[in-house]
Amino acid sequence: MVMHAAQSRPGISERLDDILARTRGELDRGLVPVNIFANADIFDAEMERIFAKSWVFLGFESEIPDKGDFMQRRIGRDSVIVTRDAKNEIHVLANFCRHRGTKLCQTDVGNQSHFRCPYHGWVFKNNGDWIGAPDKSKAYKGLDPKDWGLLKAPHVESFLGMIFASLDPDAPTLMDYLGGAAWFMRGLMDLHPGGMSPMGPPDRYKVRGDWKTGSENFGGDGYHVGVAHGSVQTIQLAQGFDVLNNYSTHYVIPGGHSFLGHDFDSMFGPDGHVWYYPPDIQQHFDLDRIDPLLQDVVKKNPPIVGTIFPNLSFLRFFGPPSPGKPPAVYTSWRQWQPSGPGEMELWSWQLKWNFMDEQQAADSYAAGQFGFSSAGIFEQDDTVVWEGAPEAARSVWARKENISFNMQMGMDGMGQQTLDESWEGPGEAWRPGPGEPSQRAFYQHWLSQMVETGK
Amino acid sequence: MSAITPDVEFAIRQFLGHEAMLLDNGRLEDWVGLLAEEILYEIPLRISARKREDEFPKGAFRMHEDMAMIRKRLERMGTSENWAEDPASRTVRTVGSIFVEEDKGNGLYRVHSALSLYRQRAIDRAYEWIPARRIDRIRIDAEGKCRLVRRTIILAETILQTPNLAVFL
Repeated sequence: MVMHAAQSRPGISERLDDILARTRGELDRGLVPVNIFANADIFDAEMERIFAKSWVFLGFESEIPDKGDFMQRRIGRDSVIVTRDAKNEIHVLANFCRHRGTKLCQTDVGNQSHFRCPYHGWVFKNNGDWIGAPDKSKAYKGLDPKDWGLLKAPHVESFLGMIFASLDPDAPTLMDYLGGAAWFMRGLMDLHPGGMSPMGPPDRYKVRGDWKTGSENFGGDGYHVGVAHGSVQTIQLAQGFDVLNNYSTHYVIPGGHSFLGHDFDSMFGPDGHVWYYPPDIQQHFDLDRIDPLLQDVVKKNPPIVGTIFPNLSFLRFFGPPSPGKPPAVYTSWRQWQPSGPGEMELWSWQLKWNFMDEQQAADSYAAGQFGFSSAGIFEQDDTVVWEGAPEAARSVWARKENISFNMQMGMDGMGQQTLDESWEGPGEAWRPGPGEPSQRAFYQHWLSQMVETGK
Repeated sequence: MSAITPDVEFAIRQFLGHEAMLLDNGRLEDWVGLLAEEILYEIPLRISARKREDEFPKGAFRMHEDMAMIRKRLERMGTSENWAEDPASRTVRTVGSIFVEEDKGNGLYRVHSALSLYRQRAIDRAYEWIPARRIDRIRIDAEGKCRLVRRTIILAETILQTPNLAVFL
């Protein structure tokens, strides 16, 4: 009986195909089936088809500035060691010994020329090469070191100081992968030759939400701000939430990337600065470093949030480092690290412009951490409202009724948002809000990766 | 110097027990009344590192708050949009391993304690446990009244297992 029951259950691939097929039909109508948020089959497939396939953000070059420096990071659920070798080259290595799987690196950061396994003592250079083992001549005379080096990401590239890796041997270049998103990232990070770097290691906290929810939210959800974060306006630490959506532009970039711009001048009055940077910061910017169309974007509709597929997002906004002090602009990087079906770790960095003096950097850090961190007065509310989707996904009732979530905002017949035909930049520009074209595009791309990579 | 007499130790123990009771009972305004105006409430960011001195990267923190920030947090908690704590978590904190040291004199003491905070949110069956060490600076005035001048919270976790720090530690 038990055997029979087991055989009659559909296999993983059938169960997956079933959900993905339904997702395709629903997405075309702006709907997202509840099943994809806390499903073990979906999660496993995401690890293989998205995280082992995409270019995944690992951190900043400035986090490992010296030869021998390393940091432990993640690609999906995998622990990897990001190293800087003796030749200044950056490598991304699987964090387990090839001999028996023991973890080689147990710390977040450090400096080592090689990694010695604590179990039997196999030794690897920080570029991943196998270089020895105890009693080598008696034990491993015939072992070919080339076959037993640490697993090494086939592609590692940096862009504006950010390190990305792809585990897919056939991956496109990072620039091809980012496409139009690279253009927007220049507008965000390349206004000064010194560039940007994180202030300290990431703030990390476990959130019982799906990684996709974070990516999708920061990709363009201006609609939640007035409600989920309403308290911050109520206590007068932010303003403009009520009109925010009327001044927004969704930039939707092929590849699942997106940016959400806001017309700051119309919202807060013209001040001649980008992102409301105060004059002492603004004076360092050289907008001629970026092309004229991008200059226009950062002056008139600068993105305040955005997402690079699959799981890297940013935020640039302003707030006081302490109530009563003048506002500082902060730039926060966040990564939605999947840790299991319907749960993630949120990793958050605050970035500074490298030209900033100590006080400017400290103010930006304080304002950013006050808003967006494990204790952030904005973020703590997100961590709770995002718990709902996985809970709903575990609901038998929801699955029985084939429930889908609604992402139809701004679609034909729904609202005021239209495609800006005059937009000459990458991808599409949809204005004004409210709308959800970025979210729909994110899930469409997610689906195409899940389906095509699975073939 | 300020000697650690039994009276001093008793006053500090009473103070820590009092504020733990106020925080667990949601009497946050009363709790703020126990803070010195120049309060610094800080949670340095901790990472996993070989050497203890490398666990706290310079200048990195989860929280670094003055009185104005703490008061704003209370104001936020008083709105009807405080979703992180709606309703407020039910907490039970145990404060122990208290060790009092002299600080700079003038009634200022450095107080080490261990905090074990149980937190259950909303109608969750699950709970979160926030273990931490605290290094407090507590001032005892001429009338024997204690004020918290500085609190440094050393979390046991590098990756926080509770989704937010919407409760005071």
